[in-house]
Amino acid sequence: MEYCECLSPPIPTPQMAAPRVAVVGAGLIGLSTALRIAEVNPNCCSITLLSEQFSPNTTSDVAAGMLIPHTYPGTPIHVQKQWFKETFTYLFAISNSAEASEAGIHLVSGWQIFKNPSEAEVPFWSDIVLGFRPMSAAELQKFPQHSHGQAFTTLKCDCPPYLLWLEKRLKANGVQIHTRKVADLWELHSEYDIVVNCTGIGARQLVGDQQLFPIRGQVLKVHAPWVKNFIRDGDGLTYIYPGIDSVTLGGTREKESWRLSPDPGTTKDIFDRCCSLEPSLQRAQDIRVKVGLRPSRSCVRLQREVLSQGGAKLLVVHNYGHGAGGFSVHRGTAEEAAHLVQECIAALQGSSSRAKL
Amino acid sequence: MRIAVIGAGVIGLSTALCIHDRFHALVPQLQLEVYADRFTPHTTSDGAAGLWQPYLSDHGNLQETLWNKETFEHLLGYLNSPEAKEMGLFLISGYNLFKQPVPDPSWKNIVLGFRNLTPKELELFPGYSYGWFNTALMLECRSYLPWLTNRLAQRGVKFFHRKVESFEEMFSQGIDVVINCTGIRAGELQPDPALQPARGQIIKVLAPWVKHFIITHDMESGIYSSPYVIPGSEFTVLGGIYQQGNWNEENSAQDHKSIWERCCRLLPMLQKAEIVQEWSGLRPARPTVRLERESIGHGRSRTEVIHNYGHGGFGITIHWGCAMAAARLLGNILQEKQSQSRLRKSCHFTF
Repeated sequence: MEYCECLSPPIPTPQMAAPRVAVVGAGLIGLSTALRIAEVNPNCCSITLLSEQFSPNTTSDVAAGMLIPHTYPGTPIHVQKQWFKETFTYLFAISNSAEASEAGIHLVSGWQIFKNPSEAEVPFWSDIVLGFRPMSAAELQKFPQHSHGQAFTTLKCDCPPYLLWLEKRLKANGVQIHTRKVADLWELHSEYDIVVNCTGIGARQLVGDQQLFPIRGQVLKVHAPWVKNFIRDGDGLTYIYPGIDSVTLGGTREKESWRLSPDPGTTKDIFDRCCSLEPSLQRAQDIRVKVGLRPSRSCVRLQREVLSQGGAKLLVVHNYGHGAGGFSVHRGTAEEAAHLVQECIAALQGSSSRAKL
Repeated sequence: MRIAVIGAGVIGLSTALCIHDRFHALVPQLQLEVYADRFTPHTTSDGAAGLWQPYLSDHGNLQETLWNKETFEHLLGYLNSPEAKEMGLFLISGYNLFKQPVPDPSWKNIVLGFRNLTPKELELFPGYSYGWFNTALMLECRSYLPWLTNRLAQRGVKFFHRKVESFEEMFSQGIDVVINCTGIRAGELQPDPALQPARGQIIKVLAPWVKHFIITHDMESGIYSSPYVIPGSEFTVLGGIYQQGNWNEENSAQDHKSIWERCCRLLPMLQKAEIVQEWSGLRPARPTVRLERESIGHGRSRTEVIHNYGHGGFGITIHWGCAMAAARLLGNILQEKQSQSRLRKSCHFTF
């Protein structure tokens, strides 16, 4: 897959060295944003990825990686739809290529089921996923406690494979990757010109964003390879997502809980809820419990900021706060972040040439 | 009353179980026996991927369509039960692909959620311009046959590992009714020119990222001669060989190459899949399934055979409907024998 489009790339002036870009965070958002920046600025800047954690220890690794969008109350629907469409299109192409197995991207079909007919409205993304339609009465017989449902085919990004594949593509694009804990964005100002903040839930501490809060999710990853279809209760709390080597069973949504350790009572509750939807899961083996803190916000923070102290400046692009919907929109927000980085580069050149006058 | 089932593939074992279910309480002296020279995992059924799907057209054979439906519904009933995993039973969705529009199949209302493919879905399959999506069932015989065997053994059904050379051999041992479920080798017990092998070969790979079945169709070359990919609980089966009249059970390198190349063209990601096993088998093809009674001999020494063979490439799909039909035929036989014995008793009394 070649992505050599260079949308009016900034041309480095003789006096200005190539801008130095640091992307902080190596979860899904950090990796995909760094990749997109590299793709749209192939020769124009040096990119370094800095992160304390890498796969399999990121929040993204806990998620099932299903492309089923979460709705952000603070973002216009048409924007969310655009992000989802770009992400779906990008991953669809990978799923259909020889790289699919390495990238961990695969199609999966299944059902979203509802107890309440009023909940079963047609979502904004119904025409982007494949074959979206209401479930037939015969299909609903498998779920006696639910009265309505929607059937469709979507994509799943299995992690760690997808994150590892992104890391590999970054290296192929000349991106340097370093393990480093960044305690304060300003500490980077002497080494880098532009910092892209993809720290997810870490942004709460790093930049003090009080609008960002965790929604704790506990999941089980089990061995049940006969489960080929996904099942998601429309309330979003109970779901069964079959992946390459394991099935993700979920889940919980605990607002403002920072607790990263698994809760045994919750484990049993999740297992019971999933078995009531798919009784064969009683035979699942090798149950592993994971916890992730969804970096939740009313809207994704996608904006530029200028930090300055004394005469020094540091340009920042924020790309965090994807909550429960990171996988569904990651390519779309990476695209926007990459554009913001280009604006930063242009601004740097503007001020650089102004300094020469 | 001794009843012998010959054959321990999906047809033999399911027919035996159906018969036991139906008659063991009604006929207390019922003794059920299974004779076969090949048991799981060495039967033809074991090689099948296990996808429930009839052929594209039933050629007006409504009887077979009904048996398919009965089988699907019987299996659906087990889906949410604790037995499902042990049976090798689970739901699976997938694609049937064509190069031109075709009429809907007889089974469109049997499977779940049958619909045509959207243009975007067809983008996944260059070269195919039309298709169906539906949710069906998988029944993996390497699990189902042991499950059937266990149920039968628990009920005291006896198994005999030997080759039966003739029906007479059975009757001379005191068997009252023979159920002939011998599949492709039925001709060795009684010549049947209508029964022909339809040789298949498959490659089993590890491809756990494939979650859908994909069956392509070439209306000119015929059923299962076009590539197909069927993901099982552990392995994914690649196939697309249907050779009429070929009795060779050895794997062919040429067929391997044909399957591999065509399946990788269909699904490029398969190129990275690890090959685990190769297998060839002979589908017991026949224009129609032979499911009927036959009386052998005359008068007092008249004995009954119920034939249940010739299920081609849809044995798993149709098995339970046929098992029930065979059980009904046995019911008729048992009833006749009962009336005959009453008649003899009453004659004895009047005399």
